[in-house]
Amino acid sequence: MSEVVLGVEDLVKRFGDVTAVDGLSFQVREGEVFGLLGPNGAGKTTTIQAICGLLAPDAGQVTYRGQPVETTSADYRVRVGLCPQEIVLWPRLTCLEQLRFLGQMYGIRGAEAAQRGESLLDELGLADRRDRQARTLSGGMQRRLNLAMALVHDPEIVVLDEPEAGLDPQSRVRVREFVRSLARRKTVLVTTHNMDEADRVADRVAIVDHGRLLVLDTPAALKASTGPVEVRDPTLEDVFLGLTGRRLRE
Amino acid sequence: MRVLVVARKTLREILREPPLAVMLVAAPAIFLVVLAVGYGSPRLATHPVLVLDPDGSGAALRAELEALRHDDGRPVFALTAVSDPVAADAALAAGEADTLLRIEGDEVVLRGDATSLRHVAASRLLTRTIVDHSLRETGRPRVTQVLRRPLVSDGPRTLFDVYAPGMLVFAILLIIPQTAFHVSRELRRGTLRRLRLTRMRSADLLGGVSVAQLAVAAVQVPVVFAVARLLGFHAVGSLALGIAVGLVLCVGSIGLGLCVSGLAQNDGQAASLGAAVMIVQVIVCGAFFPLPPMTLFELGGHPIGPFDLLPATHGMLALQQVLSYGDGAGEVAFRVGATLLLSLAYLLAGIAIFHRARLRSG
Repeated sequence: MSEVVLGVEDLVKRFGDVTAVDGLSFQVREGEVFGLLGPNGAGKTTTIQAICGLLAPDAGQVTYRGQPVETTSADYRVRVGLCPQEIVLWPRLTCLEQLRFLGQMYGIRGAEAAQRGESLLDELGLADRRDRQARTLSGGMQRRLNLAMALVHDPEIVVLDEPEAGLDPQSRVRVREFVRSLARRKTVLVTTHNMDEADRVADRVAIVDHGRLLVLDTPAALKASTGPVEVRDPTLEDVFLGLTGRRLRE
Repeated sequence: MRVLVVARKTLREILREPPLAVMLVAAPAIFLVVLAVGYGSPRLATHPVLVLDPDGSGAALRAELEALRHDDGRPVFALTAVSDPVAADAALAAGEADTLLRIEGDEVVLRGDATSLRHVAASRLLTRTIVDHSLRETGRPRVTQVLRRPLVSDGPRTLFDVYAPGMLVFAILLIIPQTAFHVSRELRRGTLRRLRLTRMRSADLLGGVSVAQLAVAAVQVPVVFAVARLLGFHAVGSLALGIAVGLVLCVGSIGLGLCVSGLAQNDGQAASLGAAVMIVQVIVCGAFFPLPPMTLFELGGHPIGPFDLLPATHGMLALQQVLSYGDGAGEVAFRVGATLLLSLAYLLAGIAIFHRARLRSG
């Protein structure tokens, strides 16, 4: 079995009276694609922000290869690449300028950052847009560039927050293939509430709600063991709804 | 050097937004054109001044005021002696005189309509002459002011000359909302959060933005000076020294912009708050109209007032001294030094506030 790269242990994060993450624990193994599923407000984004060092947990800890880490330390943070749910770009910089600039902020030399940027743009089908300003790209292209930004510093752990949100089918397939291609090279933690996406890309899946872990296993095992008995060939979505209910969330 | 990388990126963003860059230079230039059209000619008028000197103690001062001449030979002031304060006030209210000069022993009081530009101009000229006179006669100033060179031929020739330095200060203070807007935009876009994941430190980001803004200012300040010259501004002193003073003041504007960006929640709020801070400074530093002297204490022979904690107050005085009255580096050293020190203090405060408010983990 692969080594545990990332550990989340009894993580708690509160915002005033609201407990967004309530004693959440899970481990992510080296080279796997780990899906973190949950309805809106389940605590997924808060969890990954704590993992990335953007939020300080109120209790619990994050471990890296078994050792507790100070998530705000730059040495830890550069091991993680975050692709946020929303598109976060500098509208008036070109695709390549963005990647080069961000790479330099991670401490990579300009020429090397540009080289990595070009390679990522090529992999994500944006090579012919390298000198176009981000504001002139379509929404799908901006999402792919957003993904490239998470990888420019060659992180060991890639955290993707809803990477397929707002993508057309063609871009979705391209991104999904890209995420699959990252597996084994990188450790990938992906949050989504798209069950189809999770079923297709994730090696293991954790379903969380109200900041707590409900189940954690492979998609196949979850479908086999947790699926509602009245459904023949349950999908991951059946499992998810069975665990989190059908009540609409905010 | 991450500071320079951030500076280059910020400059790229500014240059790729032409309306923003043009506004920086155009706004003060448009004000300068209005000023030049309105006050560029004719040359400074002879100001009618009422003098209330019940005990005759101001005879020497009155003689000096009457002797002052513009460079075309016209008198600077036309003095009329009065004895009835009520009648004098009525004459002022009726616009028959620009200013009432009341001399009572050591105390000199200037009265007039604060909304009248003629009063503002007259009182500015009177104040300088009175300060010079009392320094010569008694070794200490009667009216608190710092401008010390004698008026007459090398002073301002038009009202435009009087107000143009204030407009230059206004141009420099425009950097406050602009800096606040640029930094806060990183917050609104989420790019600041992205940068927080890198090895970037607060000083890298804010230093880089500051360097970029300073580069913009290095173009902006000389352009605004050049526009003023083209419109007929008569700079008595060294234009290069004036530009240097302006650049020093830019550092303080950038610092105040950073302070604002640490307090604002988004770029719109930052621009509004930055504009408010700018306007308050423009007013209290005397860029648009002189405020009455408000000396709290003296420091090295220089009167210090309540607004002297703002770099613009010192920068404004230094610019006036250099551009309107021809003072040299030695004579403005105190004001330039104060501008520099306060500017650096605001820059450091801005970095600290921004770091605490925006770059620490929540």
